[in-house]
Amino acid sequence: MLRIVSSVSRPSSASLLAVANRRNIASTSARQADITLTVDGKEVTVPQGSALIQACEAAGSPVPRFCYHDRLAIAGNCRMCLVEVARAPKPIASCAMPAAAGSVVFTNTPLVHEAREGVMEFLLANHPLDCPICDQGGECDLQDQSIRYGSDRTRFHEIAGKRAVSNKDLGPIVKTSMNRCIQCTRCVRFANEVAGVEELGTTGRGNDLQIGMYVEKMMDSELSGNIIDLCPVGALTSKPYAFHARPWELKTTESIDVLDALGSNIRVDSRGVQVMRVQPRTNDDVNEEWISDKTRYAYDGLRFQRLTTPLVKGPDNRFVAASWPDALAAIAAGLNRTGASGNEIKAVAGHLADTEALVVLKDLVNRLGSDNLASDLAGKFGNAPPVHGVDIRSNYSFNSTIPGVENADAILLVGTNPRHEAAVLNSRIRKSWLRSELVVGMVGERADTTYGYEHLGQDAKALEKFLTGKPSGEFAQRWAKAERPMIIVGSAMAEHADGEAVFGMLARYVSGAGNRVVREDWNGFNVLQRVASRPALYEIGFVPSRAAASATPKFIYLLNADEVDPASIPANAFVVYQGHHGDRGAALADVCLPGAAYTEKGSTWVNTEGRSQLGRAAVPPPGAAREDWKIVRALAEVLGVNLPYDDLVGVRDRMWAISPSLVRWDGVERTSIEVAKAGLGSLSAIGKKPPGGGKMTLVVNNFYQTDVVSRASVTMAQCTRAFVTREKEELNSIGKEPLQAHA
Amino acid sequence: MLHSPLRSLARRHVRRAALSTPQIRRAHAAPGSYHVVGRDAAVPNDPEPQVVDDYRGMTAHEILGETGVARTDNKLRHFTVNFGPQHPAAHGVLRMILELNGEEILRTDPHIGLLHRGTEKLIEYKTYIQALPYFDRLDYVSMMTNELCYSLAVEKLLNVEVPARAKWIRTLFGELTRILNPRLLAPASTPPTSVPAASPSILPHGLLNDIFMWATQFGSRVDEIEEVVTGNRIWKERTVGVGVVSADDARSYGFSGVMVRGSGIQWDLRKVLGYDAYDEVEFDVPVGKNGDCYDRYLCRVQEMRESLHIISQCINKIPGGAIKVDDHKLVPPPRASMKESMESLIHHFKIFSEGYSVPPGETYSAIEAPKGEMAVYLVSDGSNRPYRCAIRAPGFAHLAGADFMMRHAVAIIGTMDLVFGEVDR
Amino acid sequence: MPRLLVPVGVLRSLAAAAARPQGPVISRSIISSQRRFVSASPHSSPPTSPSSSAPEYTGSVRPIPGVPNYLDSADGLISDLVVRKHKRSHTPRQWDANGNELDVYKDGPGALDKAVHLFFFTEILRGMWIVLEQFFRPPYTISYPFEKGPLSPRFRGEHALRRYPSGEERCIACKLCEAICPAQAITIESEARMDGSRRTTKYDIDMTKCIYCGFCQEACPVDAIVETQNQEFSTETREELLYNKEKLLANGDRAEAEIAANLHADHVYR
Repeated sequence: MLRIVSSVSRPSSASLLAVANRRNIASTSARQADITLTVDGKEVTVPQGSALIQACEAAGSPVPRFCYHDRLAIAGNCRMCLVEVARAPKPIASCAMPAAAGSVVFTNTPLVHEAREGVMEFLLANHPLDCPICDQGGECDLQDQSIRYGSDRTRFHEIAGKRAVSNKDLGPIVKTSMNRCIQCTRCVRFANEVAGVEELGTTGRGNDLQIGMYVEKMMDSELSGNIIDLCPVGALTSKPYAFHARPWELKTTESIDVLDALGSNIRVDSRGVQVMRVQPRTNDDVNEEWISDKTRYAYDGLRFQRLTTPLVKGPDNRFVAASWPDALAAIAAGLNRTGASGNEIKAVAGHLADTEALVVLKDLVNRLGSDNLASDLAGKFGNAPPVHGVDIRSNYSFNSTIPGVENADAILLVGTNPRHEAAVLNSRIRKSWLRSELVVGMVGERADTTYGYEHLGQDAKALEKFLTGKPSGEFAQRWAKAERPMIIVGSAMAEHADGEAVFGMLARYVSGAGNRVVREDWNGFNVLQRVASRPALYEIGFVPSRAAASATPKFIYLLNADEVDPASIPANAFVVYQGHHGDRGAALADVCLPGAAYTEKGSTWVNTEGRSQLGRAAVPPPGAAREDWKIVRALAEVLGVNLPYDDLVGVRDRMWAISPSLVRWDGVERTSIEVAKAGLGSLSAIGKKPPGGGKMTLVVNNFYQTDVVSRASVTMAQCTRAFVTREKEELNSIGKEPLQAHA
Repeated sequence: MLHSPLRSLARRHVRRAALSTPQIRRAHAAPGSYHVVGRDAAVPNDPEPQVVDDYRGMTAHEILGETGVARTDNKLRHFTVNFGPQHPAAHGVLRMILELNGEEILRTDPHIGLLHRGTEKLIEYKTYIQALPYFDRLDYVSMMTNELCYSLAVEKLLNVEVPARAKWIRTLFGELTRILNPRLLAPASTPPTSVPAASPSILPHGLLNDIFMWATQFGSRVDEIEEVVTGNRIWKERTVGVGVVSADDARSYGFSGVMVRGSGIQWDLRKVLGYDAYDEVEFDVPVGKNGDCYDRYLCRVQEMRESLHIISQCINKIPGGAIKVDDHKLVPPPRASMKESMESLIHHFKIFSEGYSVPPGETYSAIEAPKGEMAVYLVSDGSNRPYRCAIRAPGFAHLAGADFMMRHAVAIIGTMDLVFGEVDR
Repeated sequence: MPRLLVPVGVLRSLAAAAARPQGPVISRSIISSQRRFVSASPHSSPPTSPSSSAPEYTGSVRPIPGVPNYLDSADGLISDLVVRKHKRSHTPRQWDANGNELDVYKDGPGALDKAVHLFFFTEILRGMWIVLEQFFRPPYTISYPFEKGPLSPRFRGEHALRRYPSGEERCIACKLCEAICPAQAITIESEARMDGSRRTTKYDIDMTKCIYCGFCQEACPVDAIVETQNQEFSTETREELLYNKEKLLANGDRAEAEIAANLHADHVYR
């Protein structure tokens, strides 16, 4: 399902150098001289090229708007932002007007009020009377601005009835009600500029203007949920959330998403004990204000297949509900019975393990005399130390930082498809690709990335050829001349047979390139993690020693480890699973301990940049489930292991002792250039053998179902059917659907 | 403190008689004080009064001063009974600890809070509209004046003025409430929702006629009451000279309404402020002379007559026209237009879900409620909820005078006109 | 017939063989002569000086330290059942602006009148006559469960959820009633029905919380939730007052004609 993107949204590669032609979207990349103007009697200084509306904002004079959005191109079609400018004959749309030095602007005059009132009146003349049944009610820009700026009564009555527009099918995420559309075109601009869905657009003119797909298809983007937030009215609303709650009923908790390793900032809206929806929170350093559909809609997976009580496998191999003391005692008995000691005690950390629990589990296992701290990397790779090592953070982190993507002028993707491994990061690459001269090359399996790239090959040999040979092609030329080249290595490379070779040859290339890739102001060597727990895992050293890697475990503790290879678990081992869903990991276990999901615990998460962020509990864990670190701490008590902390503060002190950056939330601590180079030096020593040449296959085949939460989610199942397996929705399909859809 | 054995005997007698009250039981349970009394037989012929009858005719101060300089030194405890909170004469959940000398009340210690609902705090979490019903439940016999008081405060913050007809309706219903208030008779028809923040609801067709019919005959009902009660010697026995409040006391305790007018102070906010249509109607304000229950009773009866006078003026002079502020940013639009106009629907939706925002500011607006000065101190921070709402309830101040007034508890509670909805809030 | 009232103190008055000055025993005549402290002009400030006919507050009941002042005015109809030893003998004295002492009882009843009233219980008999009259009047009360008083169409009683004539329930789960409810008595849960329309899955009213303010029916954009005129829904258990959607719809179905009539009667005012 590949698309030729480059020909649509961007000039063909032949004209790559024709800069003027390529900037089809207004942008202010470089900061220019400042200009000063007067807004409502207040002098304000803004960078040249700012829109007038930005100058008004800076002066503290709010200007109402529907179509204007900070992160999208300017359309200037709603006319709500009219302001009065001295010596201008008419009110001026402030979003479409560049701020001019010395101009005198008024946002609070009778003329402006009248203009706004008039615009509101026209907008409402054709708006259906849907407020009571509209999900946007209560958080609707149209309502708010009607109250604030509009008239309180109607003068128009459409004799022929209001405008009617047929609804569009945009897929299982976005519900459309196009009668309510005010044609601000925010969704169109988002789809084109950010999401890379160029089929969404407008047709017709004037009263007949409609928003829709040019061709009959659904909006296939993992960022499509964002157009719901962008829509200022109720034309685009959320299907999974449809009619469920009103904004005033919801309790908002600011938290962190863990379904990919980006650490998107989210707002969890809950009612009672239920998460009702997830929305993005603005953080320019991470996710701007976008989140992926998985982040947004996998929350319904938090309701299904949950472990709510400790389970102990009985003699008939069936789980029996048990009390916490019984379950912990069963674990202690199991440990005794297997006689596991030393490295025969093994802990496996999974995708959704939080940092606190990892630290406590590591302490517990270490104090039991074991170094066997594995993770659920694919295949056998989790049982051995990772190829990139964990001693130097820059060897496994996204060193350029996420906003740094926008500064890169050439990106080499190695064995990764950022679109599915870090969807929001991918939109940054697309933004940069649209607005600058960025070129992208890729080694690995072809994928639709929403931006054009040059495919350099599918395996490590192709990479070797590109790095050490004399490659031809436009990307190679541009790469050679790039001032800020950026290498993004997928986390899948650590799970690939040629992983050592790839890391080794890249490290040797970067080291050999002198200051070109890694220098004081630029570190272009990046590893893109795709799993939320891994950066923290490596940060705290939750990896097996070489000796431990060869031990045969008798006691295995799975902490949220659902992707673990069943073959790596010996048949006679005693297995404990701690996690929040009854998924693959729980099926392997002898005892299941119910933990808390990410919306139910206050815990630290480290993203792929090494940025630690604090997630907060929005709702309580269901049933007898407890916060994960507490479970491990309680188990330690039962096992007679003395851990030196009893409360969260104590655990975080311990984290501080391990790595202070873990508790310096929200910031990224950059690896110094010397350390980074030393790290690359150590990597250079590995993988001297020639690569085997196995294909670098896509590691995320189904973006919508990558972890226990999204696998349990009905919405994600529907997305999978719509976008991945492309099943046709049939009327008689009820009953034939996979069980997950009904959960 | 020295006491004679005889006195302690008498005291024991008194205590035995009062075993049923918790206070006395506690006194028994504290053997220390009792035995101290029993031991000291040093002064055989104590000249002090010794039995209850000996106190007869003394003032409370004299009786209380008789046994000790300060109450803490006082070994003798007077007969203490608990009154209420479930007492038919307590007008609600008033609980008083009465210190008795025989049948005479020496001290009164009102214990309030049994009906405390945290109204003022709750209002901080309600929108301006949602806060309105809380006022009905303050003084639950004068709902409409409570709402009026709050509405005036909100209107002052909003800087809006209700149309003339609305003012007259408010005056009319304010006076109906005043008549309703002495709990003598309820108006014949249930009044409509009174005052949603900016205006009272519309008078249904025919209601004024009903009120007129009722008001015409109500004067003779008042006559009957007076005929039975006013001159009745038993009534006067129980009210004349009872619960006297001097003008100075009334002022310093913050009394208002009939409680000050009964003491001869000429003060009525309807005259002073002239809110609503009170500056356009003619009425007199009765003022008492002696500050006792009887004078207050006379004032209230006369006020009913004056209220009838005002009501008849309202019925005759009420102008036509709008009864709501013509601004649908504040007042929900009419239902008919809400169902066909987008603007109206949006305003309806937002008013009922979010309410309207009130400009920042603060106000103390007071009215002459049937019981006295009812006031709302309202602080707005510019949001849709009050930042602070303090209620000045007349009954609360009046109850503060309970200690010095109460010699005949029940009659005084009656003329204080306490309602615990507003006292406890 | 002039109202004649004789204070008990007339015994003492007779002994003194004179119309001794007494307290304010007459209700209306004195009060009404005192009361006009107001001028008819609007916005008048409270007059600081008394008007001509009103004797100024003389402070005759002003407390004297240590002496109970309530007895000052207690020389009216005080029976001698209680011997007031501390009663003070002096009478309230009042002066006009020129310093001439006023005789406030100049126009009062004579000693003979007072004696007649005292001994023949005239005021009691008059009062009892009124009471007696009531025996022969039709009662003001009604025999409630069997007779009922009139109710306004605006009366706010038990809640009901209405349906359209087609049988479709009106409620569209907009939750405005839930939002406006000051007592938070309403709980709604909603989702899309199979046909895609917005409907409640749960509509609960806790009638024990409800304060019958009527805001819910004001807020309802489709006239779905209404307060009926039914006020007789007391129950034996508290749980029965936790109404659910079925109960509310049943209320609506039962009283639809009445509800519709009331809404129609009131629609011009809303």
